[in-house]
Amino acid sequence: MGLITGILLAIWAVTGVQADTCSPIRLDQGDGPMAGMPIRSQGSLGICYAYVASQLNDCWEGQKLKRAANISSAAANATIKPSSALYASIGSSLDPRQKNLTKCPDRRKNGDFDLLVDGGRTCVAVETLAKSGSCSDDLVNEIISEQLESSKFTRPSAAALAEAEKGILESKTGIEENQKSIEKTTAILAKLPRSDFYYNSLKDNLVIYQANLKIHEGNLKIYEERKQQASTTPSQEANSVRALYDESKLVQACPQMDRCPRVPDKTNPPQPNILSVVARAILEDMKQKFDQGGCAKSSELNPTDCKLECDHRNFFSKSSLKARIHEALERPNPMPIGISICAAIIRSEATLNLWQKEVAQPGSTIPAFPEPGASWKNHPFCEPHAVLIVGRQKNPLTQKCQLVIRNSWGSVCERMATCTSASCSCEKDTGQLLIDEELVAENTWDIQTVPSPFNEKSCK
Amino acid sequence: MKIILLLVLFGTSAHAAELTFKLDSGKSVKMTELRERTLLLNSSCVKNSEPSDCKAWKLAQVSSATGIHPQGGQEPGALVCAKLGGRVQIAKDSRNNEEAFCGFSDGSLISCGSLYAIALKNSLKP
Repeated sequence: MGLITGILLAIWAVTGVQADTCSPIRLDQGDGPMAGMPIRSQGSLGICYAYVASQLNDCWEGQKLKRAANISSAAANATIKPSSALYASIGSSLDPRQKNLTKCPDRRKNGDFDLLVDGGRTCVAVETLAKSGSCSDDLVNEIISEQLESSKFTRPSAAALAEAEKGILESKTGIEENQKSIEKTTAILAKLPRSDFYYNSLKDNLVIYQANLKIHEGNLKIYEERKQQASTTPSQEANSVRALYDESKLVQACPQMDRCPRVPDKTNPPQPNILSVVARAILEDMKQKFDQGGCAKSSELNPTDCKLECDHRNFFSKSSLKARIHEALERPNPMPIGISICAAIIRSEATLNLWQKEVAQPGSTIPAFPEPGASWKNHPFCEPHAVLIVGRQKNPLTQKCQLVIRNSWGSVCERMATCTSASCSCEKDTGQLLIDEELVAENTWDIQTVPSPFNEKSCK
Repeated sequence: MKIILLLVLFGTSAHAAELTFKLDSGKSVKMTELRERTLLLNSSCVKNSEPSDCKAWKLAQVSSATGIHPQGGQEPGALVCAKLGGRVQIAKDSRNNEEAFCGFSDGSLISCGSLYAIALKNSLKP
C-alpha cells in the first residue's frame, strides 16, 4: 500500500512539475516584448536566419525604448520601424567568419539559387546589426525601387534580347557569306596562274573575307553572351534581390570551382575560393548601394554602451535543450528565442502526402520519412529553417506542453500551408504556430538567445 | 424576406472581404479574400465574389507543387510563383503584417500562400 502511495505521489509530483514548467507565457501578447510586432514574410529569400536576427534586433530596440520612455511594449514596437533582413544578411555574409560558407550551389540549375542562403548564422547577423547598425525595411525597399527604376542593376531587357538575336543572325549570315566567298576565291586562286591579272586582287579579297569572317565570329560570341544575359528566365528574376546583382558573374565563376581542390595536398595546393571572392565583391557592392542610399546614416542609432549580444548554443540532448528554452522563457524580462529547426515539421499534411509521391516514384533514392514525432534532421527533406519561440502553453487537447513559434511566412493561417496536425497547429487570431515541445526539441539543432535591455546595467 | 436578403448580402460580403495592402514598391493595392480566406487575389481579378479572367488565376490553375523544396526558409508558394514566371512581392496589411504576393505581367496578384495551396491540390490530383 505504501509502495502504491509512493508511486502515485511520484506520478503526481512529476505531472505537477510538468504543469509548472509549462505555465503559459506569451511574449507576443499583453505587455510581452513582441507585442504588436508585425509578422514577417520572407517570400523567395532564403535568409530565414536574418529574419530571426532582425526581429531579435527590433525587439531589443523596442525594449530599450520601452525602458527609456516608460511606455508599453506595443507602443514601443509601434514606433520601431522593422529592420531589413536583407541588409542584415548582406552584413553578416560579409563577416570574416563567414568567408568559407559561400559555396557553389548546384541548385542554381533549377533557377532557385540565392546567393545569400549559404552565408547565414543568426547570431552573426545579430552581432553585425549590433556592431554596424540596422537599416529599416522601408528604406531598403525604397533604395531597391530607385535602383531598379533607374535600371542600375537590372539585366538587359526584352529589347536587348531582340537586339542580341538580331546581332546573332547578322553575324551568322556574315560568317556564312564570308566562308562561301573564301571557299570560292580559294578555289579560283588554286586554278588561276599567279601571273594572271586578277590573281593579286583576288588574293587581297581573300584577306578581306578572312578578316571579315573573324569580325563576324567575334561579334557572334559577343551577341551570344548578350543573349545569355538577356535570356534570364523570369524565375531567376523572382525577387528584387536577384535583380540587384549580375548573376552571370556567378555563372562564370561556378565552373572554376572545380579547380579548387576539395582535399588540399602537396601537388594540389589550396587556392582561393573564386566564387566566394566574386560573391563577396557583389555583396560589398550591394551594401555600398544601400549605405549610399541612407542605410549608413540610419545605422548610427545603436549606442555602443548598451550593446546587443547573442548567445549561440548547439544542443545534442533533448532534455538540456528544453531546459534551456524554459529557462530563457522564465527569466525576468524574457526575450524571444531563435532556433534552427527542420521546416518539415511545420509543413501541412497535404505537403507530406505530395512528398510521399516523390519517395514512392520508381527509382527514387529518397529515404522513407521518419515516424510521426521523430527527427527529420537526417532526412534530405528536413529543410533547415530558423524561427522564433515567443511563448509556451499547454495543448488544450493533449495537455502536452507546446511552444509558440513565430514563423516568417505571413500571418494568415488559412493561407500559410503549415501545421495541420494535432502536434502542430496554427493559431488563427495571431498566425503563430503552436508546436509540441517534444517535436520541436527532436528537430532543433541550436538556439540563440539575447538579453533584455531591462537586465543590462549598461542600458540604463 | 428582408432579413433573409440582408443575411444573404452579409454572407456574401463575409466571403469576399476587401483588404488594402502596401507593396514593397510603396504602391497600394486592393485585394479580395475569398473562400474562407484561403484565396487572396487582387480585387480587379474578382467578379461577383468569384475569381475572374486574369493571369494570376489562370496560371494558378496549371501550377504544380511537385519538386518544390525551399532552402533557407523560403516560402513554398514563392517558389511556385517563380516557376510560373511571376515576381514575388512583399506587401504589408493595415497592421503592418507582411504577406508574399505573386505578381504577373497583366498586373494581377495572388497570395503566395493561396498559390501554393492550389498548386498542392493540382499536384495531388490522381
